[in-house]
Amino acid sequence: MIPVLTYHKFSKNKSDNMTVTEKAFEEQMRFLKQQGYRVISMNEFFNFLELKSPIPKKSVVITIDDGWRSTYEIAFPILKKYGYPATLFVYTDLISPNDETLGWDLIRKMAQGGIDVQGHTKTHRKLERSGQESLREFFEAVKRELTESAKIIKRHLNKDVQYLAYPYGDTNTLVIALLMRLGYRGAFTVERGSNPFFTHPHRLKRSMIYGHFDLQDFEKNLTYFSDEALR
Amino acid sequence: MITLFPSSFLKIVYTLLLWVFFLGCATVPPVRKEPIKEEIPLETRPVPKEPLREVDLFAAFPGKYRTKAIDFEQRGELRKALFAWQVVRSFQPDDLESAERKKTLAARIQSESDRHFQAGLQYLRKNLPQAARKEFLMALTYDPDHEQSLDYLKHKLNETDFIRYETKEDDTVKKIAQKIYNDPNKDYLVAYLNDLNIGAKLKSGLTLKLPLIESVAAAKPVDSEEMLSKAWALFKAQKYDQAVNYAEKILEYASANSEAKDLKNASYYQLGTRLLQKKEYRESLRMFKKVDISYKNVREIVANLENRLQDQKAQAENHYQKGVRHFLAEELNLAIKEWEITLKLDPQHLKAKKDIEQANRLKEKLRKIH
Repeated sequence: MIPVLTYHKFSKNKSDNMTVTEKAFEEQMRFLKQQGYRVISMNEFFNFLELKSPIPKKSVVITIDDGWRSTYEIAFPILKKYGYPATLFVYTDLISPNDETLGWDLIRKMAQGGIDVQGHTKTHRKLERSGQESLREFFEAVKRELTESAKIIKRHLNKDVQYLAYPYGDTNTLVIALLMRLGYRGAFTVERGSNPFFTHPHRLKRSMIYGHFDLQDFEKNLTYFSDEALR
Repeated sequence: MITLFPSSFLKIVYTLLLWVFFLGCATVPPVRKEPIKEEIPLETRPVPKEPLREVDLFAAFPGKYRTKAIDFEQRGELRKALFAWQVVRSFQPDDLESAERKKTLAARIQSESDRHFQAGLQYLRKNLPQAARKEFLMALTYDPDHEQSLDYLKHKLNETDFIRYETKEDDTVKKIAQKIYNDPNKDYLVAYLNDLNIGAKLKSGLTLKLPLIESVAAAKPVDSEEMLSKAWALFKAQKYDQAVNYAEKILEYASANSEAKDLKNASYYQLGTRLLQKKEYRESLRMFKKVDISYKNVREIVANLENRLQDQKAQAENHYQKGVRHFLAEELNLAIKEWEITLKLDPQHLKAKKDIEQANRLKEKLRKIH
């Protein structure tokens, strides 16, 4: 059962559901080390899911969503200090260099420093059909979200996108069919829980780490198992 | 009563163990060296009368593994039992029992895994994929190399939202869209998802994979409203932990939803208050720390609890020191008692925990000497 952790923003002092303080993040990473967890890369995780190679016991995957500047300023140095790989899921419309958000130059620096950059769509729209949309409109819109964001990432980082984090965690069969057609190896919801080897690779679970979590809460998310995983 | 050792001897032993306890492994006792003996000339060395007998280090293995194998079999751990019998057989190739058991077990493992696999298939036919998954997993427990079960678990069970369609002569993309979706205008789906040209003539025998799209219905616009009303109902029923789960879920999607924020604060506040009434201060503080600091009198409560826990910590240290004094006075039970109080007051007092363990070990050693 492999837990995948999700972060969004980081801050020196402030915390809320989406924002974890620098101190808390450092504590959590230290905790992983002390408790013998092995942080593995996204490719290692998928090689395991595809039964290509084994992974250590107590493996865990770290992901960060969106593309906020605090990822570079706060999380990245801590990840580097512990030598942990992580995946940054960016929605490309957010990316522009300013006080709050990342620019491609910083993303490139992180990519060179062990951060794997993957897709989170272009506009961060919900991948759920709205009441006003026809099925065809929805289909074309999702296709655009996936292909355009992948093209932008390819242009800036010269790499192919293989994984997606669904905005708000929503997905459905049509979105999955599109992902498979476009060659995505896997995709992530935000449904809390760990992933056994037989989990659907395009319905993988992730546990969001809230800013108010203490180490006890954090630990629960490393060992969280719901028998839904067996359903 | 007869005692083997005089009390003064026990005293010496106790003092020595105390020294070991405090100094740990950091200090190594001086080693008394044996005086160097003079080399005996070869011709005067005593000659052994009999040749030295070789000790077979592995002689005990077959017996041990035979016991293990029987034990595993009795516990239903067939694969481990099979392995143990294989070990026995590798040491004793002529052993008939291990040969027989190995054969029987291999057949039983095969039949159990096949039985579970077939049960899985039956569940699938009844459209019960969850039950099927459990059976396939059972099949793998018996035989981790059961390829068909693995294939169902990894692929076929994950494709229940898809239809596989084999093309026939004269099929067109439009015709397939009509057959599958009851709508020829959904040809764009058939074509794009299978990398086909809409107008092209299709070869027969191609396998197309098409998603079922009933589930892609338009989203309900106000599900967070529904969740909120459920959450408030739970709050009123004093099921605060469940209410807070709903609030957190809504905030994941809409972090600015003020009603969900209120609900989260109110729920954690109530959870904290409940723990405070039970005098579980540490847990209570955990809950209050999840509430916005500006909510009601949370700032004050958090400060009070932190002070209280600080006092508790100081009290814990006093008890720890008392324990040390008892220990030095050779009153082990009293020392342990004090350190247990220390831990109750401050569960993170690492030294108390460690000292209790060591003192218990020391007690055990003394008990053995007695």
